[in-house]
Amino acid sequence: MNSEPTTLLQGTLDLLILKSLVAGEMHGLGISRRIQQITGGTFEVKPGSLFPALHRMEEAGWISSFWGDSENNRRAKYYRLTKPGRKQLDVETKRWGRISWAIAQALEAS
Amino acid sequence: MPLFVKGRSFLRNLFRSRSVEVDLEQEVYSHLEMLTEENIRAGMAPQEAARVARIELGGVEQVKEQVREERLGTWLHSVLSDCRYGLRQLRKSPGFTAIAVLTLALGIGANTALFTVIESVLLRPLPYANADRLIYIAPAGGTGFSATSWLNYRDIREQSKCFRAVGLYADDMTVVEGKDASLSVAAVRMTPSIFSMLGIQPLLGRTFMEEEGEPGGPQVVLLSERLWQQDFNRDRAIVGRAIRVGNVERTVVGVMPRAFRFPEEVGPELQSGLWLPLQPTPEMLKERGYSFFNIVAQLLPGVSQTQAQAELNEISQRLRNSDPTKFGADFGFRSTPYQQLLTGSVRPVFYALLGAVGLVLLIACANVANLLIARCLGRQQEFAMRAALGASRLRLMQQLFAEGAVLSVLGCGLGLVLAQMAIAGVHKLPGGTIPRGESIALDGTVVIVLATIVTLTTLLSSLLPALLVARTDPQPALQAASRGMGTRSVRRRLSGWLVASEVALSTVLLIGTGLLFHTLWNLEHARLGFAVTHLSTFTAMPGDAMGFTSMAVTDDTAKAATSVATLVYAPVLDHMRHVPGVESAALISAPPLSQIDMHTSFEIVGQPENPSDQPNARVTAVSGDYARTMGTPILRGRMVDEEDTASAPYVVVINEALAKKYFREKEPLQQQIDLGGKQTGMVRPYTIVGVLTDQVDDNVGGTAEPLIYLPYEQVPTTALFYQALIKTLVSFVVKTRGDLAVAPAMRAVFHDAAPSFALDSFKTLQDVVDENIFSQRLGLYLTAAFAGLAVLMVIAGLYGVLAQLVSYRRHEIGIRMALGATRGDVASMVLRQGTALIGLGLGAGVLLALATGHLVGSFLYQVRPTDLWTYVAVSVSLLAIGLLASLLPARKAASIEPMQALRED
Repeated sequence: MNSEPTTLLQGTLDLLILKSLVAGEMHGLGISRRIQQITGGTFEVKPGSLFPALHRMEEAGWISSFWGDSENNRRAKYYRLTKPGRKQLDVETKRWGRISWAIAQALEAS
Repeated sequence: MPLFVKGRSFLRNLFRSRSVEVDLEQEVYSHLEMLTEENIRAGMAPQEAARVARIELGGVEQVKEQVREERLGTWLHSVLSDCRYGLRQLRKSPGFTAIAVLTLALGIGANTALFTVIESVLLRPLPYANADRLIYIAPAGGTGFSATSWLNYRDIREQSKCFRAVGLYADDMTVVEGKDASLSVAAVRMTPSIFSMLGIQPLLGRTFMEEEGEPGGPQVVLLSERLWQQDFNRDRAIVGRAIRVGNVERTVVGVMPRAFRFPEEVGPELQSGLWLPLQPTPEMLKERGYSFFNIVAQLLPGVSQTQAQAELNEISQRLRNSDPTKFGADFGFRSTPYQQLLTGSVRPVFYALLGAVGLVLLIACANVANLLIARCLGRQQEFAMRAALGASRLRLMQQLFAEGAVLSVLGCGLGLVLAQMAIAGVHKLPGGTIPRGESIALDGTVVIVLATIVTLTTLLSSLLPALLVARTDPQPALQAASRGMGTRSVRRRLSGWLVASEVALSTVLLIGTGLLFHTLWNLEHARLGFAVTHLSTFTAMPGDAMGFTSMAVTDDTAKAATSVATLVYAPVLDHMRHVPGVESAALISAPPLSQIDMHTSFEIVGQPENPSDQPNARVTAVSGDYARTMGTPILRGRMVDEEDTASAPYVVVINEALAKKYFREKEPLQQQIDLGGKQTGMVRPYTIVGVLTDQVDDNVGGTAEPLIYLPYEQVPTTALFYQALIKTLVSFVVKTRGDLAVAPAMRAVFHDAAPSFALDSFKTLQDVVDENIFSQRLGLYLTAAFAGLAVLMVIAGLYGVLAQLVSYRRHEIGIRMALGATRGDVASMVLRQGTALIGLGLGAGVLLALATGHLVGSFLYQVRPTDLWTYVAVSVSLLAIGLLASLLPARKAASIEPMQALRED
């Protein structure tokens, strides 16, 4: 997935980041790879979109960060979901459900 | 705990942006390294792995920049949305908004106006080149502007090395031919050096040249723009033409622009005045005692005033050593920055007023804070809900600050309008009330002032409510459905404290007002030494007036011309006295409160001379009937009368102050005084024939200086005194029966007898007195207005707090009443609360006023800053006001129906 549709999918990126963090705390690259994995390779998140999103979400209080050691004993910044983040995930999930249902309805209608 | 994490990130953003940067950089680099490792694991060569990783990352700096933008965007977005939300909230409660904005606008408007005045008058440099290096040099001793002699000027100019230029000027008057009548105008004599010193370009023509300042130099004149406009219809051909100035043909060499008002202390009349070159006369070059001139000098760059003062001390030391008999031990020079001297008189007044408006602004902030607290209470549920939904405390506080800022900005807008109105009012004040008053205008600096005030008011009015919101514990607030007891009592206590401090600040203002009121009352009833009823005054100036400072002494007394006093003024006075409705009329050259001050040294004949401590007195010429016209009692002997003509024996009358100071227990009558002999042309001694009760001289409430009254026909035309006392500007005082239009009647008299004389300044003596105490009156009115505002705010604040209190305690009051409390008990409980707040504030205010009272001491007249009656009156009236504000809430509390109140929950 290229950078062009990111404006359309900003909410989607947040949703995917939140979703990927449900599995546990993760660093930026991990989140990026996890999204790639859970979307079957459809979405590839570039650092240029990922980091601003992570910082914005941290600012909003949905995720929190800390420095930890990576699997290869390298210092990396980890992110984890916060309680408001989980709530936000709920909200976003429901919203996405509504949108995709509505779009599907619209496409089937004709 | 998310709230904590969010708060930390907010703080990181605000205060630790450097370490945020470092953090971000480390994060991006660690990401890059992990990508590289991943690529190596996938089988790439290390270099190739790093390259691919960098491509995927898309540039470290770009990523960092994107994050930064996102962060700033989020913050700005939240601030903007808070402001929008705040505006929406405010629109929902227009009453609250109107009160808050109006309160702030009044405080801000007053402060902005006063700041503008202070900036324009005290802080903004004078509109001259290197105005900050302009120094005024006066004889040592005393304060303020003080004249010196040409010889002193010459010595300083020749001996000093600290100054780039030294100049001399004298403030004087002259007569010019107007379109239809002679005009008396301000005429300043200046050395040509002053023009180059000030670096002002003329509007037309040129300024004075060096040779025009030489003795006997060309007779030239510079016109002011306004005089050029009024008298010559802006005729550009005026330059080079000769006009008649004080009966002398003078060539107009140029016109000065409106902005040129030097010397500024002359005030607004110079705007339609003119400038003459100061050309030393033989008398000025001979005698060091002719002190009619002001020295102004420009420091060389890099030379401090202290250095200049040290040099002046050396010069005066040298002069003293050269001739110890001529120079007293206290001979010396005092240097002061010109602007400081010019505005020195109003500086303390402005700062005192600034204190008063500062208090008003503080009270306004306290009131708005109280209103915001009251609103917070109503919105407790909203805040609790938002906190429960994850909004951090800082986020909630930010929202309150945004609301406060919106209020402050609105208040500023309205305040600016009010300030503009106030400044328009300042310009309507009589000219000369404020030095440099013409230059007062709002300008760019007001933006800085307003920005400061907005920040201050926002912080002051929103800080307490914001802190309260930060303490909100969502749990009980939500559970108890807006009945969280704990926070409510904190809020109530805070509101109470705020009202008490408002009362305290108002107490200080009210006490200030009371003291000024007492002062004004004292001044209005101060002993003047003359009666003001049915008395009018005006000035007259001969068409060939030479000016106070164009002194000349003629030795040849035999061929002396006849005095204008005998030729014109004596017959004119006779005519005046025969005008129907005129009871009496008299001439005096320096009447009380005219600010015309002519001093002379004198000797008491037969008393040993002492050069360092020569007797010194004001001197004025009077006609007969002066004491009777003014209603001033004669203490001893007689007053100058019509028999004291030029050919009669020379006599003088002295005032009480002179008798006390120089004769002490001795009998002054029949003693003789010498007014300078050959040096001044007052060759014959004068015999003292009477002592007159003191009249005020410069200021109502001031102490009278020694004064000599000379019969107006006994000032020889050959004497130095003649130009100053008789030939330049004299005043007439006219006592009427009933209401007579003095101006037309007197103009008619002069029209017949002396048509070339310029008449001016027709006023009643009551006007003269009122003008003299105008500044005190203005100060009182301003302070009273501020205090009135403060009291209104206190009433609103107190009422608000008590009304809230009653509405929160409905339930409790219901229970009390159900248990047997009477309505009277409930009402008195509320009244007690109100009185307690007032009492607390009053106590603190009185202590504050006692501690700061000495600051206003210099504005008071015959009132001590700790004046008991003022304190008592203020305390009583504030208590009464407090009770009044508490009555309505008390009534409301008393009218609660217990059953209804109890059923509500």
